Amino acid sequence: MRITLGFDPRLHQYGDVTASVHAILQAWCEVDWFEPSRSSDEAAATLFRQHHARAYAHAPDIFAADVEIRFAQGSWSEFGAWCDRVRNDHSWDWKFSALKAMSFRHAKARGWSREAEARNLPVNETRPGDLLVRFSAPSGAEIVMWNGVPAHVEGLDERLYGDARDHARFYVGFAHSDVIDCLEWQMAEGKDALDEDPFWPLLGCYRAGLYPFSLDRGTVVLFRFVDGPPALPRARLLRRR
Amino acid sequence: MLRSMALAATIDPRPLALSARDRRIVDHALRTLPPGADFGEALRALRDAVAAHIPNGRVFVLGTTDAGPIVGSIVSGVGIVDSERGVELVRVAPGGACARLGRFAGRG
Repeated sequence: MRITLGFDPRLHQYGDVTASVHAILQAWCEVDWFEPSRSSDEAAATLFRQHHARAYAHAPDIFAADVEIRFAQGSWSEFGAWCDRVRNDHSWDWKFSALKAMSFRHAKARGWSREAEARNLPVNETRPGDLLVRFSAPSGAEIVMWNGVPAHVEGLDERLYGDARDHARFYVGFAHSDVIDCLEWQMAEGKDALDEDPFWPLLGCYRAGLYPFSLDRGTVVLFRFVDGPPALPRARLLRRR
Repeated sequence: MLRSMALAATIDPRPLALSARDRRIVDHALRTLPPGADFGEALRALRDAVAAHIPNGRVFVLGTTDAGPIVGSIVSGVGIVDSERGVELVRVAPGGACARLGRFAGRG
């Protein structure tokens, strides 16, 4: 199950970060959500350590110097248990309190804002390939919003039900902030090199089929599915009388 | 790229339609809205409330209606949209269905 964009990013230019935007969007669309991973634990651990090292380099007050990586595997009930654990833990909010705080700090340090990034975009108009949109109300209020990167996994609602669907949607939403932060990091840097972007190796984890659950400043669980999502139900042919 | 959708005629009756985080953001935005706020003012209030509760918080375009864009959280699908009744709070489901949760800001 994959996410598809409504456009081909390779047909669009994004200034000094064109190549990195293309790479990031391609990586996002290559994630085959919730399928068993073919990557080794070691390869996945390398990716996460890259992410953590870069995050620590930018925010040593938020992240621990070292990270302990644990591995877990299972099916939807185990995955759901990890989702519930991080959702209900209010002492450490990896996405909202740690990663977003780091991302915000980085943008501010570079003097970057969405408003400045979108200054040459038309107002109240969306064009294929635009990642941001400028909205202006008659009152004069103007807001810049993200528009071009979806979080809808094709087939998820058809193949998953109940708690599994809820947990899957939660995790994709969880991961979606990383692809946006990855793009904004590059826009703030104003260059294509991805070698310092902490969010790039995180996308690599998702693409490798390992799903991180950060438990605290220095501990993460990388989860892999042992079975893929259920197949689409077969249509039943009614016997003719 | 923007999906067109119609607002459902009924209000989403689920008492827990908003997560705790969404509720805090909505309440914050509502407190800062002037009476009779238009969609632009509502959008700014929502954006500021998101920024107040989430570092580097963002609002996303979730879809469009005849009256304009639906703007809100891409994670929960909760957002606001302009309508004849004023600015409404809605929820966009992953498949695109849009349900009204209630009024966000009124006209006049």
